[in-house]
Order: sequence, then C-alpha cells, then structure tokens
Amino acid sequence: MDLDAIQQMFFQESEEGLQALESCFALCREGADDAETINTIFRAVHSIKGGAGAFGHEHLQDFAHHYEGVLDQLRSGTLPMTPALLDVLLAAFDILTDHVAAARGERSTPDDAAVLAALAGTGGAQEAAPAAEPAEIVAAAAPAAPAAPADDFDALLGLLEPSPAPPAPQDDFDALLSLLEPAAAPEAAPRWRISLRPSGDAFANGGEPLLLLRELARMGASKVALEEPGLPPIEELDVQRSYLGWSLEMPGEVSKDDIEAVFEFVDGWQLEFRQEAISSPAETVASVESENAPEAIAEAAPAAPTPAASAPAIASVPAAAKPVPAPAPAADAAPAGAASATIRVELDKLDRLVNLVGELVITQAMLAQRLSEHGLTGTSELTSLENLTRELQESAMSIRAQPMKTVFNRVPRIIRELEADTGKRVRLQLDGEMTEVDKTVVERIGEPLTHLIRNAVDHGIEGPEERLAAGKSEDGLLRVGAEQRSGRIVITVADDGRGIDRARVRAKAIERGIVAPDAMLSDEEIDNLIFAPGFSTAEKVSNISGRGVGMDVVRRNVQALGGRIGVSSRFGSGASFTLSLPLTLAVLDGMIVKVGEQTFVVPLGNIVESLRAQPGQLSHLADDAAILDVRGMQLPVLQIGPLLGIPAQSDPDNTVMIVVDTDAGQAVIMVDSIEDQRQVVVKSLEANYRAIPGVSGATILGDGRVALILDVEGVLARSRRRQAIAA
Amino acid sequence: MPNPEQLPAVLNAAAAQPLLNLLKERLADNEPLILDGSAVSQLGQACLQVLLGARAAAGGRELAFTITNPSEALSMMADVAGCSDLLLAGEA
Repeated sequence: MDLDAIQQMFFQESEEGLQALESCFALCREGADDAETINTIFRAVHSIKGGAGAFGHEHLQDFAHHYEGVLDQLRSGTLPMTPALLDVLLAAFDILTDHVAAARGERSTPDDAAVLAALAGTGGAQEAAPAAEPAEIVAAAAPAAPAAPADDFDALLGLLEPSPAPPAPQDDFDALLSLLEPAAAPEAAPRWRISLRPSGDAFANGGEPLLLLRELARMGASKVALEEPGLPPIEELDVQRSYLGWSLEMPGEVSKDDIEAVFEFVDGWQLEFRQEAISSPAETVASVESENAPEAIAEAAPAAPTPAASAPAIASVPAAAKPVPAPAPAADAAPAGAASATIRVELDKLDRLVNLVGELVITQAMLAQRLSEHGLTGTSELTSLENLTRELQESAMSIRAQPMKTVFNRVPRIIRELEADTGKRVRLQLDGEMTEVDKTVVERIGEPLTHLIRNAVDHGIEGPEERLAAGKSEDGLLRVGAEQRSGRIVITVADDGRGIDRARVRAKAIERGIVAPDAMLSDEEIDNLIFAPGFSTAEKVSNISGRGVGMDVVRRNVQALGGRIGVSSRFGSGASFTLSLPLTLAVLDGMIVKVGEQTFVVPLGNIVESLRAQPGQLSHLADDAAILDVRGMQLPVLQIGPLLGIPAQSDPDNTVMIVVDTDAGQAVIMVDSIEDQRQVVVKSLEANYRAIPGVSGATILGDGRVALILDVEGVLARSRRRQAIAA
Repeated sequence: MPNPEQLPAVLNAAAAQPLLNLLKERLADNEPLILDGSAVSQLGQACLQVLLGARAAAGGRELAFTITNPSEALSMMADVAGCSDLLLAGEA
C-alpha cells in the first residue's frame, strides 16, 4: 500500500470522525453532553490531529491542536459546557471540517483566526493559545516529572519556565481545594518509555519518520535519544534505507492508544512500550495496577499483573499498521473508538462484484429462456437457481448501500450557516437517518438536498418577528426525513414557513412568459411552476438562493437519479418537497414491451396502469398527436414507434396503452404489446455508447437481446419538442 | 578555515543522494566538513543519516565536522530527533 493510499485511509477516517463529531454535537445541543459524548468528540479531534501530523498537514494539525486543548479542558471538567461554549465548539468544528477539506485539496486553507481567538477566549485560553514561535523540543531531561497536561506542547514548554505558575485560581471552592491537593497527584501516572525503530524501507512512498517524532514531541515526548549503532560507514550508506532508532519518554497521562494512533498510518515500525512509575511508592502501586493491568492482558503470554513498580509491563507492538486493539480502559471505551466488525474494500472491487452478479443474473435469465425453449420450465433446480441468484444480487447490492446519515450529517452545518446569514432561527428535525440507499444515490443526492434546504430557510421560513406576528413559534421548523416506501426511497424536506404564494408564483410565471396569461392552471400545476427553468420569486438575488436556476437544476439532478420530485404547500403553513428515488441504480423493476421488432423496458416505478383503448377513447389530433380519455381525464399519448423512429403496430385497436406518472402529470405510452414484467440489470448507455434523449439505459434480456430502458420524462420532452416544431 | 558549504533549504529524501555524493567527495579530498545550515527549512531522516554518517567518517579521518548557523527549523528537527549534540555542538 503506498503513501497516497494510506493517506486516503486517513481522509476516510477523518470523514468518519467528522460525522461522529456532528452526531455528538447534535446530542450536546439536546443537552446530552455526558462524559462519553465529550470523550468521543475529544478522541475524534485528537485522531485527526495525529494523522494530520503524520502526513504533514500543518494547518490542520495546528488548528486541531488548539481545538483539542479546549476539548481537553472540557473533558477534564475544568471548563463547564455552556451554550456559549457549544457555539464556539460548533464554529471550530466547521473550521476543522474546512481544514480537512483543504488538506484533501478540495478548497483553500480556511481563515481560522477568529475561531482560534474564540477558542482561546473560552477559559481554556492558556492551553489553547497558539504558539508564537515554532516550538523547540528539549531532548534533555525534563524537570523531575512536572504535572504536564496530557498532550499539550505549549503547556510542556510552560513547565520548562524557571518557576512554573500554578493554574489561575477560580472563584470556585473546588478549584481552591484542588490547589491544596498534593502537587504530585497528577504525576502519579507512570511515564511511558518507548523504543521505536522505523522499518528499513520507511522512506518508500514518501514516508518521513521524523514527522512522527515531531508529533510525539508535540504530545510531550522528552529524553529523546538517538540510537545509531546500525548506521553503516558512509561508503556503504544507502540513502533509501532507514538505519536509525530512538528511545524516548512520554507523560503517563497520554494513553497508549493515543501514542499508537501516531503510528496508525505507517507499516513495519518496531514499537516497544514500557511503563515505569517514578513517583512515591504508595501512589505508584495504585497507578501501576490501573495502568498496567490492561497492558498485561494485551500480551500474548501475560505475566500476572504485578503491583510492583520494579516489574514494569512491556507491550511490544509488532510491525503492523494497526496494532491489535488492547482492551481499552472504561473511559476510553467510547463508541467511536470501539472496534467494529468491518473491513474496508476498494470501491472498484465492489463494483466489479456487483457487475459480475449482474452478468450472472443475465446468464441465469438466458438459461431459463433456453430451457423453456426445450419445454423444461418449472424445474425445481431452476427455481432454486433463480432464488439464489436474486438473493445473491440483493446481498451484493446491500454491500453498496449506505445510510442516509452520511448525507444528513452535513445538514446541521448548512442550517447553522443559514441562520448566521439570514438571522432566522431554525429547529432541525432529522428522521430516518439509518435508511439505506445505494452509494451512488447517497453521493449524488447531497447537492439537490442542500438546495432544497437552503430554499426552505431562505424563502419558506419567516424571520422571528414575522413568525410571532403570524402566531407561530419564533423558531422555524425544518424537517428532513428519509424512508423506504414501495421499493423506493422517499426524502422529504418540509418547513412550517409561509408556504407557496400561488398568486405571486402565477403572476411571476406570466411575467416571465413561462405560462400564458389566460392559462387555466390547477394548484398542483402552479406549484410545479417553481421547477420551470429561469423561474424565481426572490425579490433580490441572495448568495443563498434566488438565482432562478436552483429548483430547475434540483429537478434535473433528481431525474438523473431516476427519481421524481413533487411539492405540496399550504399558504401560510409551509411547504413540503418530496423526492422519490430508486433504492439502487444498478437493477430496475420494469415492464418488457414490444414496439415493432424492438423490445423496451418501461420502469415499473412510472407505471400507473395499462389498458387497451376502447373505440372512441382515443382521439387523434394530428399526425402523431393523440389524446386518450381515461375515466374523464384527457391524457396525451406518446407513440413510442414514431417518436423513436421505429415501424410500429399500425392498428390502434391492438395496441396497449400504459398510463405513466411524470413530473408534468400523467401521460400514456402507446406500445404494441406487453411481454413480461421482471427485474433487469441496468447497463449504462453513456458509458458504453452515448446518451440518447428518451432512453435512460439498456439491459440484456434472457434471450440475449439488448432492450433499451425508456426514460419516460425524456420521451415526454421529446414528444413536446416534436409538437412544438410541428406547430 | 575553508568557506562553509551551503546546505540546501530542503533536506528531504530526494536531497539525500546529492548530499551524500557531495560529502563523500569532500571526504575523499580530505577536506573538513564545514556546512552552513542557515537556509535549511526542512530536514528528513534520510539526510539526517547522511549527516551523521559524514560526521562519523570525518571523525575517523580526524577532519572537522561543523554545521554553522543552524536555522530554527534545522535546530528544531535536530532536537526532535535527539541529535542536537551530535550535529550542532561544534566540531566532531
């Protein structure tokens, strides 16, 4: 695995850490800021800091360092959690997210000065203040075991000052008492003695061991001693090989997990941990027992835990990127740190598996077809094969499934930014975060969802005064939910704002020439005008929304995912946008139809009903245009044959009418016959040929024929274009 | 005392082989190794090994090994690597 791949792993883990942070902060906002939650936050930031140091992302590392300083104060109880502090932590979280994005090269380095100042002003200022000068690590002996905060380099430097000042007294009896405690109490934790030696090929792929040593220095390493006996004479020196090793000491307060985290992304290092008490014997016994017991358990052949300070436990970590996790102390057993029964798999491998399963499904269908030609239908073996194939396909698809949580986790930040920009106050309710959908859907739904949310806050939810005047609560409510319904995922973005002002929408649409002034429009049709290209009712263009391109783009993005978008609204009470999306883009339930000699697949999700036209039900308007009367509704008929240039059944009495749902209402697709209804494996036309309007993809049928999958919306658009040209 | 040899600003893994060649050349000529470290902004382990190797070789030949005017970055990384006394403490 090269350094880039390891760095990608770090970025993935950072992303997961950021998601964990968002979840924890959501709990904090609800008042559930217990020790476990705070600890999880601390560990996530600490882990990001460690990885950033290892890969030389200094801005990210520095910011995380200061952030962590305040979190450490919070974790230790020195700082109480207050709404004001939570605001600062949230702002810092947003900047941390930006720093991670900058480290990935996705944006420029964020300006973090204001947030750093806010962090410094939280009361953890002494610990959080940025270092004015690059820190100089003193390799010589530190003064006899001063009380060093776990991993704060600035504080360590402070301890090297001639007369270390005690912590500033607080107007707090407990703080006063703590000053009266014996000064040695925090020193009781035995210090770590660590031997480390990079692997011989530690420089391969750009590895730089000194960066890891620098990170250890930041965490409080002292007595760093170089071991160079393996260094050959200069004539024999190979600059691509690592020959050096080091021994050093770390404060006992730094957990072994935290130290090991520094080496999480490198392979082959020899690490040896030894913990030795250096304080008074009575304290040593207690701390050695508590600290060493888990280490002893971690050994393959552990000696019985001994309280004797003279028998230190040794924990050797063999050459491995991820050491075998030792049983964590209770305080460290936070959910984010818990080992999970998961492995990382490259997406390419997964996609290859899904593709192969797709091929298997096609082959199985071909086999069934071939057997049926020989009168061998309904054999139990074939039925078992069909069941197994479908089960295998569902299992393969479920591997690609991801919870919507990965998308929803970004929503709170969007809301925070919108609140800051608009002065509005929004209460966010997220439902169905664990609803699972295909990875592609998760990746591509973010943008349309973000736009809907921005739109809801910018246009829908009123300001506090307007809401109070309307008899509503001061805070607007935005509900973002996801659920599975009838084999599709339905995402809802609903607000309790002012709703769609239909009179204004209609007037704007007429003004912009989107509809004729005398057009008779239903409420639903007026609501749908907001999706028209170039439509915007915003009085002025803001940087949030109102450019008049958004909702059109939202609809197109949703359609590109094989989905539909709808809106319902009550003026004065709010609006609700509903996105209906397929659970996966790789398989599709469809109706197999024939037009002339060609076979097509109509997605089942679009189909309302199918029928044969009775005499008088079908009215021809022009050459290709017709209208079908379906129980009083006059629906436009899309004649697939003429539309796609295929010779089709000429006798309308023998054609089949399929009523489909589209964003513009219902329509009818006219085909020659219906052959079957089945699940098909979708093959991309764009990837294998090129995009064709009206066709969303292709599939291979059981008899080996290729069938095109109709894009109902595209067919309708194609039909309208033809009619417009003909007119 | 000969003019100090200016050390490059970036002493990363890529700079190790040229540095090794340069120092071996000086040693072959029996020249003392007087190196100016004022421009160094980055020091990696590969170059550190070369400097340590050169220091040992110079000592063996009774030649001087000195890094003059070490930059802040060089001093810091030497401290981090626990070898300030070896590299920056005057002649070998």
